[in-house]
Amino acid sequence: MSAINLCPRNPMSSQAFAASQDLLPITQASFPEPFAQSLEFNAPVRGPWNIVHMALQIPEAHLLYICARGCLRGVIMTAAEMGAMARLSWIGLTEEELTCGLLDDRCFEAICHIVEKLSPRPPLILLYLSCVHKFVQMDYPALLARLNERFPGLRFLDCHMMPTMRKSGPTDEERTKSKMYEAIERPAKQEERAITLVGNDWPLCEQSQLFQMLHGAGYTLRELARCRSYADYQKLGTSRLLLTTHADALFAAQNLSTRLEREHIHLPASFSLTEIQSNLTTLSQILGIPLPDLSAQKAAALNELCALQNSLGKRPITIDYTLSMRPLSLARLLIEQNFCVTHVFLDAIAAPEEDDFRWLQQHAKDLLLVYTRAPAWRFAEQRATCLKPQGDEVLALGQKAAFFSGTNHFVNCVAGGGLYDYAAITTLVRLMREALEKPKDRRRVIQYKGLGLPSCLSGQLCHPRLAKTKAAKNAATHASVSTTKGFA
Amino acid sequence: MNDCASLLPTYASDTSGVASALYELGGMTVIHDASGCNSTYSTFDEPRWYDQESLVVISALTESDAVLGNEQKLIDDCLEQARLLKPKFLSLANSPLAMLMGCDMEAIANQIERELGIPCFAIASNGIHSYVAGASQAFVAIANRFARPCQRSEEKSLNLLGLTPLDIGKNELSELLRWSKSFGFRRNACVAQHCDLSHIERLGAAHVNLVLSSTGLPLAKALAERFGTPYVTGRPYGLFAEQLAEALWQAADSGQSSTKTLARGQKPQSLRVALVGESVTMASMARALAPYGYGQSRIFCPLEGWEAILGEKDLGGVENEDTLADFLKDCDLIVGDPLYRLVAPVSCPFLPLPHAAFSGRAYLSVEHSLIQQGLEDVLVREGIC
Repeated sequence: MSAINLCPRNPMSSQAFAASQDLLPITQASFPEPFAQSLEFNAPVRGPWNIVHMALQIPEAHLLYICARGCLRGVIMTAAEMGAMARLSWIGLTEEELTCGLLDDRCFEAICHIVEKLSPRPPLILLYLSCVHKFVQMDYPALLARLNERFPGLRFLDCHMMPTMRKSGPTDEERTKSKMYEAIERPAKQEERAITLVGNDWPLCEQSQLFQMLHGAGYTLRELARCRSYADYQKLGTSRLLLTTHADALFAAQNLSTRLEREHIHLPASFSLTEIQSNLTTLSQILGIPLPDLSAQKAAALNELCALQNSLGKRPITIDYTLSMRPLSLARLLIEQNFCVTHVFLDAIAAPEEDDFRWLQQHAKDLLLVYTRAPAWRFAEQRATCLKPQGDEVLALGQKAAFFSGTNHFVNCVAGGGLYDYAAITTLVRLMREALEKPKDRRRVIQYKGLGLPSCLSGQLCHPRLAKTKAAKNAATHASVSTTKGFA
Repeated sequence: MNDCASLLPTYASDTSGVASALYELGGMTVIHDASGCNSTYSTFDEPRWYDQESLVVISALTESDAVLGNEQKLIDDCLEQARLLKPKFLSLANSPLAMLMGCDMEAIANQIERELGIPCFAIASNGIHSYVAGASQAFVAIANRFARPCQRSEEKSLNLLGLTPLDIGKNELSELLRWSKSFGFRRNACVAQHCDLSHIERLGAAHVNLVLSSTGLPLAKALAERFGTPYVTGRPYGLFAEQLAEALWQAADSGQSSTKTLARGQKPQSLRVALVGESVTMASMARALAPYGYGQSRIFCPLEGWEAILGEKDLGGVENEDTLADFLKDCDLIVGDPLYRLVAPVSCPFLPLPHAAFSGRAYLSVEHSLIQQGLEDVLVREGIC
């Protein structure tokens, strides 16, 4: 890599950098925000899903973004690289529209123009407005009322792309997840032996005890990632119970629970053996289904961990928050099993992680927390100096950990990858073994946007007019996550 | 509404243009934005990201800072990071919300410069315009701050203006550099690739400026005014390269800019070509295709900077895909980024010219070289001649 002149010729030492509070021993970190906010760098790690990837999971739905060009480009190109441009439209705003009181009428006219052209007309349009609309106090309800009058029978959802609010209230991802369930109609009848898992990007791993228990008791598990049609999507509302496993789906589930008057339980994904047992016990009690003897699964998970630890020894491990929403829970499990976890890359500590954070402060005093947005990390020399160990010696869990640790030995998985309970541990151990044995082309792999989804960069894709293969047409028609293994 | 689409993407924005233009010059570009601008830029609009380091960051604007007009945080954060990372200059770029907040970025830049002691300037971007607007302003701003009067050598020299990867692919850049050496000029500066601040300082030493994209035109005009350097506009595609070289020599000798190199006549009864994209690129292509029988050309330019380039039959500044679809009817050849196939008549031959500012990184691996003989090779390969 050729460095331009400005690259710090004398990169800061770890100690000096720690003084800038972007690299902290966990003992010095505070909960829930260990790092001061300043200018932000963006690491080139594209596997985690954004609001386009998430919303495109609703079969047959169409996305319409209205914003300035600078904000539109990212979402449009996300869809373009997926070969899903036929499912996304956009309207670019001008200064005149934003500043001369023309916004409401112009937006309405442009939306109508786009919708008239859509053929076949989708059953649902997710209408994304942005922070500029909010800032100029656009009347969303009035816009929706006009659209509903103009297009009776077509459902519009007012969605939001408001990154200004990502640190105050629900994030864009949480809002999107909530909106994604808002078009589910209240069904005439509810299915007693069906459960809807809300808000997960990935389908629940079928090897998990959770899946096995539900399946064994005759329950149907419904989740968006398994929907293949709009009718399937509507059936998500028929289940008698809503279940969440990730904290970022709570907002969605609570809203859906209130609207459909459904019971909701939260069984947080975790790497704690105690919490796993507790979650499954809770499930059995609530559903009145038998709790199987889980001691074999627990022992198998521990044996797998122990065997891996024996072969790894003191080989350093780094973890980031994109692999799992519980990076500290994972760090705790591995440290409890004598693995050598050196760094956890995260920007804030989520509420469910507080206990793990406190435990690690007491028992893993050498563990370092790293703020991934610090501008100094732009420089390879800075990363190499401050984030030792570096290179293929390190086993990284997650794309960001791989980038910051400069290793090609990494587990390529985002947002939990659908893994849950003891199966999460055994699968993770398998993936760690595979990562150790077979290095990946880090630079290439982490650049694909939306891990598990079609991408023109990986030779999948494309729009039927651009690549006339059957596979491309399928990818363009229904860009959804594979229900098989999505981690690569 | 002017700009809406259900099939095509939009071009890179002015904030990406600013970052791209200044990328290699050793400064720090701060986009006053909540999130997204930097991710979009580094993912889709910056192919140099991995191979060449540069500082492009966002201010991480929050709702409360936006509503309360808290600009002090931006100032404090810029000071803190600049002291830590020691860039040679700071450039500030506005996002849409920062524009609506009425941020006085020039005043903020002045304050930062006073406290920091290094040049700091604001670019009047707002995330609404295209990369052409952002990059053009950034080129002028950096030259205003760093270019110095200097003596011209006896040996004729030229500057290449308007170079960013958004417009010019890696292979094309190599070809351009090779071509510029081949007809007797010494290269003084390439603004701004393969370039550092010392090149910007000596911009006034060149005898002539060659404008390779519309992002370089305002800088060419500014240099003409400040140093009296004439300019010529165009890219050396196919046989047009010879005419361009001749125009450069004439301009260097006479000191007069040539504004007519890209002017096109129309030959009735000849083949019709419709070209879509950045105006200098497409006007150069139109000139280069004329010897192959495409004597009637029309250009559709959805970007800024087209006024001085396009003719009466062309259409500039419109990004509406319905208008474009109408424009592309009834022609014998369409030239443009491969994604424009989505609105082109299926039966019409299409010459794909990937444009990173439009299709991002999707076609970076299939870039053509059109300089001099390269054009004919491409036309043969694509079955067009």
